[in-house]
Amino acid sequence: MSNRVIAFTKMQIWFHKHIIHFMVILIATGLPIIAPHAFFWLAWLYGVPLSAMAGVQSYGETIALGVQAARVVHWAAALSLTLTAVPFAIVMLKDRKNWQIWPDAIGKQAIADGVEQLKNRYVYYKHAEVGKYNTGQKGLVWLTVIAVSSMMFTGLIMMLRTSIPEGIVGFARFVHGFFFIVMSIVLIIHIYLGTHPINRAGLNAMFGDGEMDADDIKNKHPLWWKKIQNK
Amino acid sequence: MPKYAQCYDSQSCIRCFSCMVNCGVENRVRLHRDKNRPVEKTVQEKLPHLFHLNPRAVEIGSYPNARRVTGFHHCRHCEKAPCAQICPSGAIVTRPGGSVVILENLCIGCQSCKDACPYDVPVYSRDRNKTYKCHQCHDRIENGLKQSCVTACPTGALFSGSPEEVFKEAVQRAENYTKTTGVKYAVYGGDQVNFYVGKLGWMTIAPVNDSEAYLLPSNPYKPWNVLRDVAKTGGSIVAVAALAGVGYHFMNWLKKRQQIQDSSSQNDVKGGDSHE
Repeated sequence: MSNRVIAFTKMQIWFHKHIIHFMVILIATGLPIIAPHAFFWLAWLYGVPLSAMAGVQSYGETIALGVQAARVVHWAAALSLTLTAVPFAIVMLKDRKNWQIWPDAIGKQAIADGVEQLKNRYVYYKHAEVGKYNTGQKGLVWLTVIAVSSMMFTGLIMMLRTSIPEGIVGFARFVHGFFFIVMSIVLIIHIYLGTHPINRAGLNAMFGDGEMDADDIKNKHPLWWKKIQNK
Repeated sequence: MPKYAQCYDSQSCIRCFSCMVNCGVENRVRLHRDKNRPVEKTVQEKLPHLFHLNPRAVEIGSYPNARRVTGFHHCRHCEKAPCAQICPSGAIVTRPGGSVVILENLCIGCQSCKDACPYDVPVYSRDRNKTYKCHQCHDRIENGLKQSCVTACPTGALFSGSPEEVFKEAVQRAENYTKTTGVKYAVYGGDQVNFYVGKLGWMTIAPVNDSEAYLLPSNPYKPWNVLRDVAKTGGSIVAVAALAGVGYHFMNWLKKRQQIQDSSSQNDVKGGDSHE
């Protein structure tokens, strides 16, 4: 057997890179809309370069212009992310038999065991009996799928709001904002743990050629290693 | 600039709608004054968003006691103005006197204010991509005049002044109506209505039992907007906690790594000693 194992496919690497820059754009343009009083300075930053073109001079108009620009870029990024997600979803659905994001077991005990392994890995820095993804990573994947799909759908509702009952639009605005906040918090933890030195092998694989050393897998992902050997 | 308020007295109102007509005329004159539009054009142009007072008639009760009640749909100029809080472009401001005003040049037409207003007041104009509502004639008031609707009212059913004066007069009128009709009247908006809107800059005198028909909800709020605000506040706290948590985790990891390095170098030294 080769010493290198494919951890991430070219499609996964491609989509992950795109999701990073789309998330950066969506968060940077979403913040002045969801919290205008705290992030007015972001709107001002966007508005200043455009104000000369638009012939805008006052501070208030610069902020308004910045927010309008943020909305347009937000829509463009959301549309691009949706288009990017289509080929990814097709490829991943075709390869669904190889998904490793399903829980190995279900129930309270399984959750407790998963949390225990997370503690072993990130609190005690000890050996953890995990597969390709630990409980936290599996949770993140499913949360991302649910949150991003919900945000795409509710974003569309808000874009077409003149044709949709106001009660539904209000609910959509709440859901959109709620998942925006949840994802922003989750991303802080994901980025930290993803770039942490103890996860260097996975980071290099995701931003490199997608391959990991067999020894790394044997030591840090023993359940995944077993699956590879069974194949 | 002192604070001011106005009040609509549903009992003194004769349903002549002079207020509504004068509101439309005044806003058209503003177009002539501020945007140099010819008077003829401002009068002829079909601009429904220039009317900020909309009567809504409903029948309440059942035969033979059915009655027709006309509620006024208009901005209440809330003390806490949820529309101003949600507006991302800073287009909705509370003037020093208390009027909640949409600045047309800053409005980007996002309609966020519609999602926050518990009275469903702001009207979106698709043609102009702007949202409009009553601005309480703040330009007139700040120049020593009364609101155009108040000026037009022939019966004194609309009156304005300082919030204290208006509230005192409104309470007195409500007490009189209660005595003379035997039906309980109250002043809506003089005291804090609820946590969402606070006090109102536009009070209303109406029978307590018919308050819903007069478009005066006892607890006006938009539940999804309240939940969104709760999520925003909670999310900010959790985000700060997450940042502190990752910072703590990293420092802890560095400490642990140092301990391992120290112990392995001590072992190396001991191993070297034993060779000697």
